[in-house]
Amino acid sequence: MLQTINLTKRYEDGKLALDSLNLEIKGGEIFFLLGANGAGKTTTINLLLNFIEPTIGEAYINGIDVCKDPLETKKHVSYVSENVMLYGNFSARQNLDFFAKLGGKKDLTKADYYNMLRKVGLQDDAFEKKLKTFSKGMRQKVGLAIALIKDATNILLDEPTSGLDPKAAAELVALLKEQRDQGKAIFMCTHDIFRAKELADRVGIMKEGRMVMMLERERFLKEDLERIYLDFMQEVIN
Amino acid sequence: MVWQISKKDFLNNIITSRFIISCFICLLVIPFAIYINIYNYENEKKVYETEKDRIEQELKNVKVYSFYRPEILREPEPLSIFCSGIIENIGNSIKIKFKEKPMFMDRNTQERENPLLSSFFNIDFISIIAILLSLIALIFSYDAFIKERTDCTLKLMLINSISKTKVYIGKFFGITLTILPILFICYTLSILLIVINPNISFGVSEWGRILLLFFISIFYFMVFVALGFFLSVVIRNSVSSIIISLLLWILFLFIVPNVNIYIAEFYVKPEKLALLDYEFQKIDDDYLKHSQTFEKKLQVPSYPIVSSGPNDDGGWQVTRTSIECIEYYHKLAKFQTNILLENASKKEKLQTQHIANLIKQANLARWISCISPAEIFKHSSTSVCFTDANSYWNFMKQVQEYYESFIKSILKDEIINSLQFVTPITKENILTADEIISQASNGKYKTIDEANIAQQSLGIIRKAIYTDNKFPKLDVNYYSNIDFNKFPSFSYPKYGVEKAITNSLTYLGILVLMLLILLAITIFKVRVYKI
Repeated sequence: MLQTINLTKRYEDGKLALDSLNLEIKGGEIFFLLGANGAGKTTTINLLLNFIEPTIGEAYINGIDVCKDPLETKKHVSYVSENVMLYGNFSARQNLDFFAKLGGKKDLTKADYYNMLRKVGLQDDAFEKKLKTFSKGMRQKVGLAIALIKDATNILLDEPTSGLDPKAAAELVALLKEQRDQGKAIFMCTHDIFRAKELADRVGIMKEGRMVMMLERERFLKEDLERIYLDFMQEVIN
Repeated sequence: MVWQISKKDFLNNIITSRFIISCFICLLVIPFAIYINIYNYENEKKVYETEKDRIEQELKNVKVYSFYRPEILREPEPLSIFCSGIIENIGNSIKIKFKEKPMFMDRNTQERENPLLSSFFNIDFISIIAILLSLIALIFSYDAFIKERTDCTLKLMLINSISKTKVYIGKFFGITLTILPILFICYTLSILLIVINPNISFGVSEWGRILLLFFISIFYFMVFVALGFFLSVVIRNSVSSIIISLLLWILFLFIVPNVNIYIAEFYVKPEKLALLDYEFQKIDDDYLKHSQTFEKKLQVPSYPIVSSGPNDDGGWQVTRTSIECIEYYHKLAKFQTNILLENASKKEKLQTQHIANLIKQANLARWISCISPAEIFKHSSTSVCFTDANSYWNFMKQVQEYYESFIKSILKDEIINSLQFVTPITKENILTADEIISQASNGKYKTIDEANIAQQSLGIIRKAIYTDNKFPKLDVNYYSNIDFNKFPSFSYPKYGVEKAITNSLTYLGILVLMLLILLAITIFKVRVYKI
């Protein structure tokens, strides 16, 4: 479970990146955070992962304060970033092995890694190829495999579909559904409204650091999420 | 987890072009440098053996005490193959003289055969290690944190229960592990070239000190790894980081070692050697005056003198002559010896002041240079190889102590007051002038005065000695060399690993302190590092 209470971040230059965010994502729920660039989506993820300190407010992962016990909270969270570069001289399996071991999974076999890479849609012949030969989409799949192999109860994804072809994106959707069904809380920052419509249980729209709208699945299916989001974006442009 | 990160960095680095190029450069440069240094060392040994033989031969010709001037040769240091230090620029041979206390070696048998090559940069194994390893360390570490941040892998690592400090420590040891095989290759190649050379045999001390050099080299490159890491933590982009890394590298490797000399020369100005020589010349001139005055006071024996001497240090060898003449030269030689020794004391005051200033200047230059890890590494290496200034001064101290004991033995009654001080002719073979002229003229003249009046003495004696060989026992060749057991012999202790550790401890301490400070500052910066 992910929870934020009045979570606020003001950077040293005075810019208010996040303003009093109150949010709760329960296990078995997929939450999509939509917003323009610079709206505060990545700041939210960074605060939840304790990569930056909040100015005010608290963030909890499975009820543990991320500021007070960051190392403990990290046991319960995995993350997929927008640009997964990883280690170019290592194969997909070696990258997976390294991060799995860092995540505490020390007794996994080669077969376990292959299964996971297969599960995220990577071709068998790419498992032992150096990552520097991979396309962005392929690297994204390895990044997803790294997040999934940790088997954490909370998954944070920052623009995970960028760079994925439609087939891979569909596979990601299926995977996330599977994770949700396993009771995991999924928090995804994206511009991808179509994926949100397809997958989200709730959608939040963020503008200039503030959560300006929160929509339950029933509502955004009824009211056309795309129109709502574009209206919102228009407001930002104006 | 720290080990996982170290292992990852090690495995990731050893398949990079940086690693392969580094190994290739080492493989190319190290054997070449070691080969040249082995060749130089072998030549130095040959020259040393030849010089030793020459000295032994010369000693055979020393038949009077006042002619004996021991010559001291410093044996080539085997580890000069690794680090030549100051040995190349300072002599390795010195002749003990009455007129001057030995302060510097006065002759270098190890100078380059071709003096024109002296204008080129002479590089040894340790200099190559200092240059290459520092560069390799910086190349591997300048972007260590920056790359992890820009590739988002730092985030992926920190998503786990691991702190930034542990990531830093893991990466630091990962890069250290990466460079270790390169260093190992360098040392292995060098050792291999030494082992396969039949003319070089190293003892326990040498192997132990090579091991010590290896450990010092590890600390050395770790300082540069720590420096590169520090830059990669405080600088946000890799281009700025590599530029600053290279500037620091140039500063530490090439600017500091030269600037420190200028600073030391600016602040400490010892008297010019030429002025010192001028003062010495004045003292020597004074000696000549004294000597001439004393000579005039002495009653010159009425005997044609056939002798050799004095040499440039007041030594006399008187042969083919009478007791009167021997006693005359004995008195003169004793006087001159005492004056020379007095003058040596006068010169010693000037020398001590000069040497004190030289040491002060060298120490200032050395401590200024300690801002550069490369210079600290070189200082510690030379002290391990016994090719540093301190080893040289220790050797010179032994030479000076030997000088004192040699002079003491010369001034012993049985030496300086013995006629053998100036003549090899033994007591039973010494003749008076009258006996010589009588035997030479077959009884025609009973006394030398008679022969002198007839102006015949010189011709008769010359004919008797050179043509008729009537006085073989008055000839120098009739006698063997003096008994050298009456004089102390010079010995210099062979130091081992313990001495090398003691010598290098201060520098090693500074190197470790530098490393710890860099690690501590970087850890402090890493803890607040913005991802």
